[in-house]
Amino acid sequence: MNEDTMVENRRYLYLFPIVALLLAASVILNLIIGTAHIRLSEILAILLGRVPSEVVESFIIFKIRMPRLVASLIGGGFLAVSGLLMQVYFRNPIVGPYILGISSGATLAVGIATLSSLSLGFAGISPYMTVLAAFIGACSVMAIVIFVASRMKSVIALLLIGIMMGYVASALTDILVAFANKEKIKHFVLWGMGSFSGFSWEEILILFFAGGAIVVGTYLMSKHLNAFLLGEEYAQSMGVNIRLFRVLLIFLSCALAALVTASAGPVGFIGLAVPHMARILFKTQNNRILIPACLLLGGFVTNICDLVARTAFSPAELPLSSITAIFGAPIVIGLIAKRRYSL
Amino acid sequence: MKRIAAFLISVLVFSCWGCNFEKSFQSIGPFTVQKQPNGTLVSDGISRKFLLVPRGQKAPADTGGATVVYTPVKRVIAYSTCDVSFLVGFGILREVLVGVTKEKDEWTTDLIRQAMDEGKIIYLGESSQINFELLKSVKPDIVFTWNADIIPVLEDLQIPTVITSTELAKGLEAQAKYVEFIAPFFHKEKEGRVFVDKFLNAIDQIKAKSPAIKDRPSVIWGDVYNKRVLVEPNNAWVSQLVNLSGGKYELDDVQGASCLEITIERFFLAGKKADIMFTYRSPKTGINSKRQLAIENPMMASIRPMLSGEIYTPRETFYESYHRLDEVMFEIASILQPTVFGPPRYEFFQRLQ
Repeated sequence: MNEDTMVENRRYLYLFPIVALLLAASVILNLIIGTAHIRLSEILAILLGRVPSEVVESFIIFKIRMPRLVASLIGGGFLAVSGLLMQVYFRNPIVGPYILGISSGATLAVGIATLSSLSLGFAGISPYMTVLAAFIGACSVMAIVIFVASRMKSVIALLLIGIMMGYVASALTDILVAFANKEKIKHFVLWGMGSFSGFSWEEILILFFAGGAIVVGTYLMSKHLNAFLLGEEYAQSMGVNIRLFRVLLIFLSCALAALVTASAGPVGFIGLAVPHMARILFKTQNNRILIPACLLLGGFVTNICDLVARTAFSPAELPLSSITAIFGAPIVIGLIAKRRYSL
Repeated sequence: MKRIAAFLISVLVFSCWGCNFEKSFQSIGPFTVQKQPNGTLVSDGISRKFLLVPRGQKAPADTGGATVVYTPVKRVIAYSTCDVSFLVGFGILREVLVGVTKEKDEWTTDLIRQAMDEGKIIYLGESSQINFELLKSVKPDIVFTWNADIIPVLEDLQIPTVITSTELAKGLEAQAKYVEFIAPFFHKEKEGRVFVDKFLNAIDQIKAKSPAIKDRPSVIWGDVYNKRVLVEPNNAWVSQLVNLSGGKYELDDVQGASCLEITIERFFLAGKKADIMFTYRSPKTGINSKRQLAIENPMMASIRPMLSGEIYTPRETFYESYHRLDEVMFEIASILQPTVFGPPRYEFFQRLQ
């Protein structure tokens, strides 16, 4: 082991625990701060099961606050990893998980489900239907993108096709909105603003296990990801099946973004900004380090943004994507302006 | 996006004007009305000045930057149901209204539907997608709108545009007095005053019966949309009305614009205490029962109005009855205190079973 590697390893040895501590702090803050004033001792008693579940405070902790903080933790982490994969794929620091039209596809499908439910004879639409519709929409776009990726070599062409698909989906959504019942639009617009509010434990379990499997799969590919960063020829010389690898990379990234978007709606900037934060903080391009770093930092940043969104003007709530954008945009602008590093 | 904005702003329009009972009408919020020797100087929701000059009189050479509008205005385009309902109230709808931004089927007022059938009132397209050629062709004297984005286009077309909404003031008294801003455009100041007096009289009547009220039901006004909560804040006219009519508005710490998003946590806390909930959804959205509401919002299933309380939804007529605000007030008072104000007529609201 050379000296540089040893220095790096030493850095990771203290950086990971620090980030994990920050994450733990954000979890505790999210648990104890809220519109309802619940004392720390009460929260502890609730967590230890000493308070009956029918007590309001217990309901708030177990059914509202905890699902939300866990969802933002997991969702934020997944979005960051998804963004990292896209940035590696395109070797472009200014792409995020939604660059290939995933969120537009999900939005279109949710639009079809919510805005046309009356015309289709449904009085109302259950939130689970919304989640299912969003997932189908995101996966449909993903399937098209993967199909194109398996046939096209040019990364730029794929990027353009992804962007065009986003435009088409947005255009179709606008047409739906133009003909929709005005009151239904309220439901739809709120979904499009993205939020980790109102998650059920069932949704979280699905998100955790499905997304977790994808993240593990991604981590196992990190060596190939590192090789891919150095160029396709180099990766090929390292035994990477480029065609399969590209398709797999897009699948993993889109699937992560689709999972989060289906339940939470489009949450902007996390997938774009957090991978950069991880690179700056850990001073590395090594995806073996960046993937867990993105998971932790993504969870931490999303948790903090969500805390700000729900407490800054409490009991009024701010749109999460506004907070993540306010937080993320300056970082991205700063990076572009300073060009401190490249992929 | 813009269509939902249209809906939300139409609710906002319903709540224009400040609630400072001490100040005179002329100085509340951005709206002002000042009698002057050469006409009436008014300022709209974004403080733009208009000099209302009676037809036949000459406008002064120096208007101080105010746009001259000759009154009574004879051809009007109105975006908001609030402004349209006042034209109904003044009895001049068929004479002056020439364009709207809602299709015929979306109106419940027969007078409007009939005039649209006859081609007296034209549908100009959705508020976000106005057909400006059509708008110009109906030769309006003025456009009443909540959408300031269209001002440059209409200035090019030389059509005065008045912004009739504001976020600065939303109280109950202001809600009533808003009519006094609209009235001078049509020389209907007297009718406007009658409307305000009717409203103030209704408040007095409700206040007079207040001592007979013993138990005040707890009330929330809002709804959950796809896990997000929108409510009326405590400073909204409906919340003030609830408190005045023998109820207790449970979201008393929430201040801000109409249709404000709050945390689920706060809504749930209020929902656990509330006896009565008013939702935003009209039966038109397909929500006709508590069961349907619970299917769409599982989280709402456990709040008290769903379990043992009452839930009311506004009928379509509610949004077109701003000129009948006194009657709306009495109906809300009857819902909250039927023993004091008599059984509700359910003309503006429907109870979900």
